Amino acid sequence: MGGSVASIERPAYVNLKKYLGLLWRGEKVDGIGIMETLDDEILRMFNVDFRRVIMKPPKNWIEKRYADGIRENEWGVRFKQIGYYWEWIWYTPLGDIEDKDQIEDHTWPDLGALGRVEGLEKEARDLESAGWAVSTAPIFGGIFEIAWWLRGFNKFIVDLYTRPELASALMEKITDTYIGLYDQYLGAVGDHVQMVMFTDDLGAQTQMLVPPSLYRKYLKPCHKRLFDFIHSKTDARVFLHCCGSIDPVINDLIEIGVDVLNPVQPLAAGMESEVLKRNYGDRLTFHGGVDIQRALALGTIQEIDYEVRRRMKAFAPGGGYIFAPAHNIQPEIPAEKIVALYKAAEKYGCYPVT
Amino acid sequence: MEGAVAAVQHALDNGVPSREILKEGLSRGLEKVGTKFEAGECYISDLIMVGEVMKASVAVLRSHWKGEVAEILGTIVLGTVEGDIHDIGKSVFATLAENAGFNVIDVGVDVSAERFLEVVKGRGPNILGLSALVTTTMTRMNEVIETMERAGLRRKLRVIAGGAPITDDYAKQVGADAGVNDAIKGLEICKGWMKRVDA
Repeated sequence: MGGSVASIERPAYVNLKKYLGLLWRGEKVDGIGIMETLDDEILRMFNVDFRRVIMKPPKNWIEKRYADGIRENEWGVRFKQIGYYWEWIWYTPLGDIEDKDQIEDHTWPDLGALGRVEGLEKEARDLESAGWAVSTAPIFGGIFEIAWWLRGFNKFIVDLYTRPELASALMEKITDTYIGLYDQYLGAVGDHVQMVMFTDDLGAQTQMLVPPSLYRKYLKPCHKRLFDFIHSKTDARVFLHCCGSIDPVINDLIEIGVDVLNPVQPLAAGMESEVLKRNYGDRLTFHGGVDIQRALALGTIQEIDYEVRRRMKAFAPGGGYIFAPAHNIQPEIPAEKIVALYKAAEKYGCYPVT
Repeated sequence: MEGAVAAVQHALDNGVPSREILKEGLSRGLEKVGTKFEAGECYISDLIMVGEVMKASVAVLRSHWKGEVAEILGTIVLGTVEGDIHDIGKSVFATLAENAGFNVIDVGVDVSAERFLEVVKGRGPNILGLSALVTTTMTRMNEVIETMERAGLRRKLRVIAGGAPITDDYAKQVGADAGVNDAIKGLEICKGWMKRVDA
């Protein structure tokens, strides 16, 4: 529980705290409404093994806020709260560029800014000494995601087909920026973390967003360069969050250094848990896997129990599974279901798992 | 893209009627893409690219249509329901529908039932297209349809619901005429409705 892709939306967390009779302890919410920090009492209650060290924003950096509640982060990406969710809004600062030289004119995160890793080395060391499995948190979105947030989805897709040199240049710039940030992050905590989390969604419910051939030609080299860098800075495992139906490229991800794959979204096409374990279980650790689209959203307590038992049975034998819901627990999920989820994990999650 | 535009221009230069190029050429190509998409051989990015190819090709035809009345299949008012700002699928559908001959009025995202009603009253469409991506907002579709019913407009148009979580069963439950989770299927349904209107 925790990490921006296996955490919990604020409304559900508030209800959970009320249900458990716990006071608010100043927990933080991240830029898109997901709980960034969680009450350690809840984490212990749910037997969560991981703790995270989170990179800070630079000192003296102020988030830009606009009328209508729009917020802009360091990358120049804007979000707005619509209903429950913080959503990327259709603001595309690189939407009009014609030439790859114009990419440098965008305001990118300042790699020379101070304060991002202040105190993190001690924090990671203390968590490790206390016996927790320690991970970093995703810094922001993925290489593919940031590219289309800045350029506009349709435009970036058309770039991939008709102006691949522009699309590649944009993704290379994002990769360069991430390498600079991970250099600082892992320079501080690399010796004390067991997992480095990165996220980049490539899949939808029934298929990939782009053909595997396009992924391999233009995005895979960027991912490889970043993951090679991460592996050069730490012995920690590389965790990739990649939603949806992505089976066609899982071998590619393993090839370029992904050690832990999340969320292995169980209802996405081609992502059946048992099949994934059989095909990749000797080379990959799975993280997530518990269905939140139907089981947690619509299921009874008994059905949730069954769901957890099923995923444990599929993923856990022989090792290589980190139990988590397949994505952030959604705002409307009642506290009773969340408690049932983690109780079931405790019931079925002790080795030997049969 | 250049290949498609060149092929359209070549056909026009050789006297092929523009309507035939659209119906027998471009639309047939679109049907093939639809079949491939259903078979998992095409991806959403391919649909977006197909939309751009259609746009560029139809632009060539349109310049040839000056002075002629272009055939309009029908009018679709389209929007993403209130509380939801996802529009990738909606925008693919809008591009494909426009280039297939529909007049598409895209009301945008986070559209209230009242706003849908205002536009429907003003533009009198044949079809109302409602889009939603998340399970918490697809329930708004019911609100929009009930608003049309109260205004006495429901029977004057067809309603199609679209989006990743939408099924035909769900669509019928909320009072829509059809539900789809892919743009090409949605377009075929809309074309089918307009053919029955003409018959």
